[in-house]
Amino acid sequence: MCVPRFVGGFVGRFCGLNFLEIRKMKNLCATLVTGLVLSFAGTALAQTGAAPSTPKTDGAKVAEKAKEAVKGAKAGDVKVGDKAPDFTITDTDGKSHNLAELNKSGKIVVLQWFNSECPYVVKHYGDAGNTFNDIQKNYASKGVVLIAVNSGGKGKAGTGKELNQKVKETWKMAYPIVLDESGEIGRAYGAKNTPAMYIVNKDGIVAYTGAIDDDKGSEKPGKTNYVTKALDQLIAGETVTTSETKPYGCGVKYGS
Amino acid sequence: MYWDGHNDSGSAPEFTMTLPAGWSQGKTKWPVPKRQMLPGDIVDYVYEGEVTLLVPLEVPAAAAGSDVEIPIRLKWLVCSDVCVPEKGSTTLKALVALSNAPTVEGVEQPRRISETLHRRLPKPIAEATGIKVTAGAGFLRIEAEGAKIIRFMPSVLGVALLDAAAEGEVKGGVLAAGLDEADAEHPGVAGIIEVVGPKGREAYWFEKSLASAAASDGNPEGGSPAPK
Repeated sequence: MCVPRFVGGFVGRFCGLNFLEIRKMKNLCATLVTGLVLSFAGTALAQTGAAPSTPKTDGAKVAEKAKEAVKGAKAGDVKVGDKAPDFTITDTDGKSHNLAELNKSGKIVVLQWFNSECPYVVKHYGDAGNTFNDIQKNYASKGVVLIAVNSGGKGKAGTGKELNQKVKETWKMAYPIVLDESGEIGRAYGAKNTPAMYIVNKDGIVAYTGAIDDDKGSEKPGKTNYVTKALDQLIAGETVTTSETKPYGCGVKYGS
Repeated sequence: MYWDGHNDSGSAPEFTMTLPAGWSQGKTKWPVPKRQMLPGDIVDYVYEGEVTLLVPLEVPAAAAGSDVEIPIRLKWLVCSDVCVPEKGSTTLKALVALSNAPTVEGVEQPRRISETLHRRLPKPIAEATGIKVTAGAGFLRIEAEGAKIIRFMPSVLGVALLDAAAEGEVKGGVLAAGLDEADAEHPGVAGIIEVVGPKGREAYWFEKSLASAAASDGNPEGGSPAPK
């Protein structure tokens, strides 16, 4: 094996060096990484930092602040166990939906942040999978209501009543898409991604927040669907074991 | 394109190299990205236009002077209003040169390329002057003398900021931020500290393990600022 090279020092029996830049990878999209450089570095980069000191009081203050944030002190970022922010909104077919009313009638409500032009959403419809339509199909009879929330601002990609009506039809969505153009609902929940997922239990309490599944790529749905897992547990009256995951996907295209 | 950090959206480019036997690949070194904040407190760390990534390879001594072909598979997102996922593959054809070779046919001024690229990488925090960093379980504090702006951009190698939108960037000389809890996947703090101040724009790599609670105040700095 090779002898590592040390920066600014011993070069000696350095075994090999390979610098080459791919300026134009012809079979790749021209807008991609136009240079990928390989270089020999060995262990040369490990270095040790100095040790500035800071009074304990400062650290303690920041740590306290951090604890507050953990408890969910940040406004507009709902956590599991919080009362879900209520809303009333009309869908693309003109039907009104009120969260509190749905809960009152015994429904578990699943909110799916939605944008039909986001590849992380697209992968859940059609050839690659049918994640959300399957949730609607398999859980509607079990008292679950699925709502797609589009919090994109007016004029942003994937927004507008006409476009969303068309998408709903093309993607055979048997559940509503609501247009939250002001972003009020999205901000109240702290939704940042499409598809970010929230499950609100019958009592109006947030029971799950996070990703739809465990595949953060844009090609195919994951093997573990966190939302159906949580729904199965809620329906069975059990505790949701994985109640919080990190959502993935595109950013929600808020208007301002 | 996205940096390999705790972005609120998107994903960083991924690539897989099939290396010859005996070769090994080190951690990719990413240049300093741009912090981007979008409506809805969505914070991402991105590159605009193009980006060059440095991939350290450890090469067997016997390979010196030989030609090599390395197949590479790539996946990346190109984003503007929306992101378009792409994937592709290519083969890197290279000549393995000796380190002290002044010029090698087919290799384009390797030292100059390397130096240019290294200027875009964060420097080790040990090289910083006038910057004090304190990090422990749940908190990070950066003080930079005379700074106009301080940013901390958390890498996926470490924990995320609890509130990247409010605490990831400050105007002034002190940044104090809450950190997520460390776990097996994110055992410490790791990321880029960017300071805009009297010396212009500076960027440093900071890394510290949070494995021991005792480390939270006793020895506030440290760790190996090994760029990934």
